[in-house]
Amino acid sequence: MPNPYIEWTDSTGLARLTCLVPTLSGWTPDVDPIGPSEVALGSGQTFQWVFRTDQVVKFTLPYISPAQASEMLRLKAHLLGGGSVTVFTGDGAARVYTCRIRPETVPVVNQDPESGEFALVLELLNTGGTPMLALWSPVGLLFTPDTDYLALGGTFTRAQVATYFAGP
Amino acid sequence: MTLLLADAASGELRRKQYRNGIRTTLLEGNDNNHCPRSEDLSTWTKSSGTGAATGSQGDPKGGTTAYKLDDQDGAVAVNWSSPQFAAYTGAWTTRGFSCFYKADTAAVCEIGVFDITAAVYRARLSMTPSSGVLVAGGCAFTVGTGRVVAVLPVTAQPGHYRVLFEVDNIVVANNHRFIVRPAGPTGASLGASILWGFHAHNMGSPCHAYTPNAGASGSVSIVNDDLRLPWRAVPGALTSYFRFYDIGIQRIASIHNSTQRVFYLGSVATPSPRHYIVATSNNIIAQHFKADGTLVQCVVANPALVYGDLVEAMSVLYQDGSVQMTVAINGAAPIVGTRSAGQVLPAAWAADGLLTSQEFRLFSSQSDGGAELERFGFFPGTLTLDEARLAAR
Repeated sequence: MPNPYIEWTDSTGLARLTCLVPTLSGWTPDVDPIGPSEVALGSGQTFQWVFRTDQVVKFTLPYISPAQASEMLRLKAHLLGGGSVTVFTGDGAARVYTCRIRPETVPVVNQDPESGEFALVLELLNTGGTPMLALWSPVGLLFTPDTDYLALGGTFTRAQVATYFAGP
Repeated sequence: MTLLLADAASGELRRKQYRNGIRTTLLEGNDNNHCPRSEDLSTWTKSSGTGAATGSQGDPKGGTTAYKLDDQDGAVAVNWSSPQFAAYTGAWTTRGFSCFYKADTAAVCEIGVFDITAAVYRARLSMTPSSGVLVAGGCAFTVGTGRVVAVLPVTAQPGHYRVLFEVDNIVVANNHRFIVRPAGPTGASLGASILWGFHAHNMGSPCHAYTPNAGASGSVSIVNDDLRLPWRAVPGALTSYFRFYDIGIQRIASIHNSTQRVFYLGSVATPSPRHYIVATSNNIIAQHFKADGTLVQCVVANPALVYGDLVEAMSVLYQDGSVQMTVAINGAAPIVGTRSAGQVLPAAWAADGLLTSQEFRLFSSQSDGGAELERFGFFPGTLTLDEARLAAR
């Protein structure tokens, strides 16, 4: 499985920005129903006239080397211009999303003062309209009894009726 | 260690396990409860002599389904016999047993494993509480040979204990049953004991999961725990660190299974798992297979685990494909195996089929025994044990 990358085509041609690590940092999916919203004075109930529902995500493309800075800025400009990109998450299910920039957001470029590497913080909208999920492997991760294995895409087989839970 | 009893739905991870105050996840192998009517002792057969089985006693789950078996005869040792166990499967002659016990008026209680076919006891386990407290040292075999695996107090229901034990020299083709003498084997002894939840395990050591068998005959099966997670690691140096309490891997392996895998990457069949830790009868081994089936391995021999040991098992897969196993028991000085020869890692694991199923599994192929997993982690690079401990804090 290749590392995650973002691909797009602008007036210069096809371009790609590849993540140097297997996971995209802080991948946080969200949903944003778009439309006027009002709260009824009597009941306190919220009503909304939904014109569309944006499936969005916020994440960071970390460890961008200075040699890739021009591609990074090219990507930012492409997104701000309304262009679409393809995000290859490289997660366990090899999920791929076609995205545009999330309305009213701006990609943020940060630079590590010690290494000189850049990180690009993006908020994107899935043009496919589906939730933007991604689950990466546990490499470099720690698992404890509190880990939500099912959320990580794991399975757990157990067919017993009762068991012991010990107390401290 | 203390225990409390709770239900777990099918597929539910038992992540509320504690040992020594440390939260753990219980993972263990398959098993059966071969003892019919395991909780309904009113259906058990009382011998001659005066005695009574009184239901509606407080049970370890907080209910009232336990029974007080009362020997009221000063001349004979009154006993109660369970229904005949379901037939054993497998050839191994050591089997596990367990039951819940709470002291009442009797000074001693005896659990017997009776061979109906041969008409002999394979074991008689005497349990002698002290002021209502039962410990492993208060249990002894008066007939037969075996081992008391553990006596575990039930946290939420004080006074209740689960007694887990193994009995040797079982003739697996024969029929068996429990015979309980609530006031012990002495005819003149009087008194009652509270009992519940009998378990005749198919496996050589009792699993810690408790499963009732309400039927009039037959057994109830318990499938093994099988935790799997997707895996998409890029081939390279990798440190795998596991910290768990041993509850029987090596003991069971010595009986009937030589390949108890602690974890593995890839599918079940050999040599498809390309990297795994395996616990055999006496050794803990890290192995790295090539696609053609050749392997390199590092053996930590005779780590001498005993029930309840805190085990740290760390395998390091180096960039050259060599492996090295480190085992530390109860925080003592680690045992470090000799690093194996190298074996080239492929350029891309997924592309050349190094991992056929793209997942890792824990404890999924063992037949019984298991572990209470405290934590585990996979870390890029080659770490020392101290570094892995830090990473796993």
